Amino acid sequence: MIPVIRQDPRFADAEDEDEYQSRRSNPLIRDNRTCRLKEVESSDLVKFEPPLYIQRYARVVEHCKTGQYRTIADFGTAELTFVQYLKNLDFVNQIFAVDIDRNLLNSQKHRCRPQMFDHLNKRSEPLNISVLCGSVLEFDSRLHDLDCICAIELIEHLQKDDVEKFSAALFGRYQPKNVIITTPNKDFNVLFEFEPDQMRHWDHKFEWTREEFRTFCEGVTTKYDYKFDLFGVGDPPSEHQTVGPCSQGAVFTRQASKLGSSSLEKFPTEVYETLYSVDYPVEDKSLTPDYHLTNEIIYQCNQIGIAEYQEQGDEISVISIAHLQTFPSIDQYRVSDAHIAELARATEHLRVMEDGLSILVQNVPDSPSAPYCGFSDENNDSPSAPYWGFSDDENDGAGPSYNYHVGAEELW
Amino acid sequence: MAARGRSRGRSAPAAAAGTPAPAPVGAAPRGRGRARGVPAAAEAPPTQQLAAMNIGAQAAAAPAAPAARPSGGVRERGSRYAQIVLRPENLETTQGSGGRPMDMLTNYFQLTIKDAQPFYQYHVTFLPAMDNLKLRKALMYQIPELTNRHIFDGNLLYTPLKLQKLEFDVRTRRDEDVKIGLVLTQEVAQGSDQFIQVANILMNEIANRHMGLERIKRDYFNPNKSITIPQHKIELYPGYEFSIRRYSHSVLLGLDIKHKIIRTDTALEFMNSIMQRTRGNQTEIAKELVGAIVMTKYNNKTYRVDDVDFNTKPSDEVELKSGRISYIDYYQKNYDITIRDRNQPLLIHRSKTKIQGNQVERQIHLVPEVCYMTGLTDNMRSDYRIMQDLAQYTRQDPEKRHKALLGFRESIMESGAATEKLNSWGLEMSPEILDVSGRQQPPENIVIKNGGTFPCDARKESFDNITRKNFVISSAEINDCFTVVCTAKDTGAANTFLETVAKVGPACGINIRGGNIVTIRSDRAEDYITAIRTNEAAPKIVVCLVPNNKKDRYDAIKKHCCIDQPLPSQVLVTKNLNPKKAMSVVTKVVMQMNAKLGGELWSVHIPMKKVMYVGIDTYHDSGSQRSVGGFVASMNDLCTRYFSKTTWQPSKQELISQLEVCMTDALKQYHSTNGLYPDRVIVFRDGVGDGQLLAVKEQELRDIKTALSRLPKSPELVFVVVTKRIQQRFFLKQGSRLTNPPPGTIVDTKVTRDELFDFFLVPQSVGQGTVTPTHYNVLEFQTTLKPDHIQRIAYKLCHIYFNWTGTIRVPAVCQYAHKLAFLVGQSLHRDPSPQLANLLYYL
Repeated sequence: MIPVIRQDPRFADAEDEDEYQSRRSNPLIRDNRTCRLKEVESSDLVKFEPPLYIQRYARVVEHCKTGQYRTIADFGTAELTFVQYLKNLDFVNQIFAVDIDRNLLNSQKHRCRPQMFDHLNKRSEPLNISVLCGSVLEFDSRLHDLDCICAIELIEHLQKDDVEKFSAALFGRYQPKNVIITTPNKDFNVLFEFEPDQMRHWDHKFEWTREEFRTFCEGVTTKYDYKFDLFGVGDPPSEHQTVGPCSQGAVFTRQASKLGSSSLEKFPTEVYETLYSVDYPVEDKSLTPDYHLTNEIIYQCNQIGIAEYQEQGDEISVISIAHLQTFPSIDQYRVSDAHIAELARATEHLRVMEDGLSILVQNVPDSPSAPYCGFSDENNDSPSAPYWGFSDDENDGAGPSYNYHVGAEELW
Repeated sequence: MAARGRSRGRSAPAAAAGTPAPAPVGAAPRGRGRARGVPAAAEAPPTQQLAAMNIGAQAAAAPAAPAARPSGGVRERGSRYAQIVLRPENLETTQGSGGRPMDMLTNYFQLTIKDAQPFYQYHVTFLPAMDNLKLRKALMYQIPELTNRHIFDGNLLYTPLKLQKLEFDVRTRRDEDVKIGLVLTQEVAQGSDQFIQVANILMNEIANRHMGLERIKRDYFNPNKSITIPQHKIELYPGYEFSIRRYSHSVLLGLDIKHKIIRTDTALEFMNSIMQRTRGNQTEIAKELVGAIVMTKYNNKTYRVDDVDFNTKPSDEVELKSGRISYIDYYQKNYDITIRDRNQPLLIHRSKTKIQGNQVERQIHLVPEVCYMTGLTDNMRSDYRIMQDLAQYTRQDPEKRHKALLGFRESIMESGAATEKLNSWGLEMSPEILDVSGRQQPPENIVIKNGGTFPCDARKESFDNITRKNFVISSAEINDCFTVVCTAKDTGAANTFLETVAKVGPACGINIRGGNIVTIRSDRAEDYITAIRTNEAAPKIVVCLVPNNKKDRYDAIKKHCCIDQPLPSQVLVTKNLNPKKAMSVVTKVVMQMNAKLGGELWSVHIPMKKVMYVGIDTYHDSGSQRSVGGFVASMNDLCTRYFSKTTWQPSKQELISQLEVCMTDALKQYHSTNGLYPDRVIVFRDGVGDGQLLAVKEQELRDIKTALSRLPKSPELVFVVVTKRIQQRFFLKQGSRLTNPPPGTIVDTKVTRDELFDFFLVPQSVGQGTVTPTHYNVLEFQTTLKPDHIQRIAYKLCHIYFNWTGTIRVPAVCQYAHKLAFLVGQSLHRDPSPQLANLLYYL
């Protein structure tokens, strides 16, 4: 293959030759007008590691951990990225991922499906994730009185007029115990060397300075029964301390333990369309520690046994319980040697020596059909299990008639 | 070429995530394709070529520029749905006719389009141009006319709808107006390559989205139906492997039952328990982990462990693009995962990626605590308890398998969304699995002493009973010319061995008795070797009794006896000589020793004479960067004597590079043994992936032909690729029951492929589960033989592998080649001495 030199720098990012060629030859792409979807959150002056959005999610998760929120809604969930963080919290029972873009949700909703490891490492607490399509300005009774509603980088996408309605919906009607809001800090933008009036993302309707955000928060708390704490994500470089963090946020906490009266929540209304809903696998709590310990004992005894069989050809291994107790996985149960002996005795495969100090494990089956010679792998070729009775077609009593007329018979 | 293949290779995972796999970009310029609406299987050569050019572009173009192909190694994943014509030319028929006809079912569903409605392929343009692939895909959902019935890769759109309107106005979230223009490029007819591709994408989406199956590699598993085996820390996920292809019958959905073994312990827990067991032996840990596949907690990806790094800890820092960060912080910050054990060693995964055409090796460190183990280790495999408990679920007889296959169809039917998806594309799955007819070949006659024969009962798993009589065709004159080397502790066992040998040897007709014992001080490998070297008895064969099967000792003995001091050797684990087993074990060992010294055990009746059968297999050397090719050729009409040679090629390369030399040497040897050259050469090549068939045909076949053409009269040549790991299963209808077809069953219709000369052979009888047939793909057939002949020869050769008194899965020459490559790759790492080339020392 001749090495390709991609002479046209506009398409140097092409993944492979095909893409490069097709883009280069496509008259429509030639002006290379791209739609920038990514938000500006770094520049030559400031770079965040990990990227700011990850730091932001981590920070909000931190608040959820501190508050041990069990029911959480994520408004403006988009690609369900934040849900990936939330679902790892073992105390969370319910996550609502809400957005108004149905197409987007439909293409992303499967991201919250349990993965292989969720099945392996089952949760101790049940968890349901529901992907809902709807606007925060509507009211859906499922989201009323939650432990927390998150609106991460959402508010700046609303028209200024709608901010008031948004607050009313969130704090006035949904009345969650906590609200976490994050939004860009406009003061920080000087470090991005923007054009005048330029914002970090094409869809931002406004960006707030720290002062403006504080005013908004205070407005909320005077109108609704909440208090707030501010936080920031993405510290500025040391020589620019005055601009504050790149992203600013606030945690609102409901003051009243009882909800204010609202006519809406009395009637269950499921306005939002459920696009996807999934329950995560939960561990079977009926299984006792002894059950787990027994399995651990069998497992470790088998492991020791098979290793000794491999090494020395021992058909029976004797394992002292004291040695087993040195295994962290057994030691963690903090049981007596006698208890281990008792559990081992109750199993099908293990036997316990009379003195109760050691376990016997048999490494070969009772009726040996083992390979005749250590290094031969022939038995993989041919099954050694008993013949299971194949019978010819019943209507063929006279024995099979083979019909060979292949020509060139002299060869045979 | 390579770049294109790779780019499509990558598209496979994308399909799983529900996004359409990109078709070859730019492979179908608009306006050209309409003529291509004919299935590639049609006779007209121009059509065939065009169709091949589309998806299988690299394959079709390759013959013109073989130098551009990285010879072997890189599997051509891109050509997964392309159907390369590999069938030898000018064949009247590829089907046989002999044998007793049988009615069977096979694990395939027929897939049809209602009313033969084609799909349509459109080329899509955006104005203004959209560079962002995600955005382009998202915008397509805004076209109401498509009603979500489309597959779009960013350039090409497939839909079952013939659109009247071809221009659409849509709007991005940024409130930009975008014009989407569609140009109909072709009708995708049922059975064409694109049809197959689209159908596969659809089926993957259905499995993944609507049936709730998890994709692991190419298979789909149902985690909701997992079976827990807690005492082995194993979870078993039932699942399916499926693919849609065009077969000679029609487009078929092949479906096989699979079980994924997932372990519930993390790599760290696993390492800890080895640590406790071996009291901190690092080599033991590395031995058990290297080669294992782990799955990471945080991204569900699987990695092969290539090494264990005991010198690096999670608290160490790693250099990333953005700066230095410790593994602990990295996981905390990126995945919110807290690493608890700060001192665990790390696992290393190496992968090769291409950066601007250059092969670059990348090394990834993995933290064991966040990795789950998958699959079974060798130790686990040798644990009868685990295997027994697993077999209960994984070994399914034809009845159970049939039920599970129908279950797949049922769960599609039960899921409304899945059925709707199929319906909306007009696809229909047949309600029953496909029936297919097969032919049972007559039982073969085993040839023994003095030309005596006895019929081999095909229904039995072995013809072990011949060992009860004086049967061997010829005995190597071993007499007392053999030495047993053992430790002083094992002299008792050695005496038992000699006594038993004297009993069973003559009973089989093997001249062996007496023999001397050499005792050594310890069971160290050096002591065995010294004893062999200094032994003055000058034996014909040396038997080493070893206390256990430690690999390094075995390797050292074999290295010595195959390279330094060419001498057939037999290694035997002492514990097999216990009174219960001694008789049967020694019988087999004596037969094996006889075979190693050139004695002939048994044969099978083959009327055809002057044929040289060749077996070729490869083995990827564990320790080095090279892989070994084993080449074995039969030297007599009885197929009891063999010439062998090994070749080396760069690692992971399946293709054998020095075949011409091997073949020439084998022909010379054949000539010096028989005084003439063979009339026919029949080659069985094992260990070739589907994607490498073309490369094998181009390179290996060419090399063999070159060697043959140098002879005064070039022999007839048949070249067959043998594949053991295949999806096809056959179930014999017996009244209302389904059972395994008997050995010798041939299937060469319906599930074979038009572009190949292929057939299936059921070689064995199995006690449990469902028998796996072996696939034979004839790439070269320059001969007066008929398909029937090659089918029967394949079956006959399955009978004459000296280490097994029964039929084996592949022709004996393949198994010998495998044994040879395995011995050289695993133990010797160098060419064995040419002095041994005419002996079956590798048995």
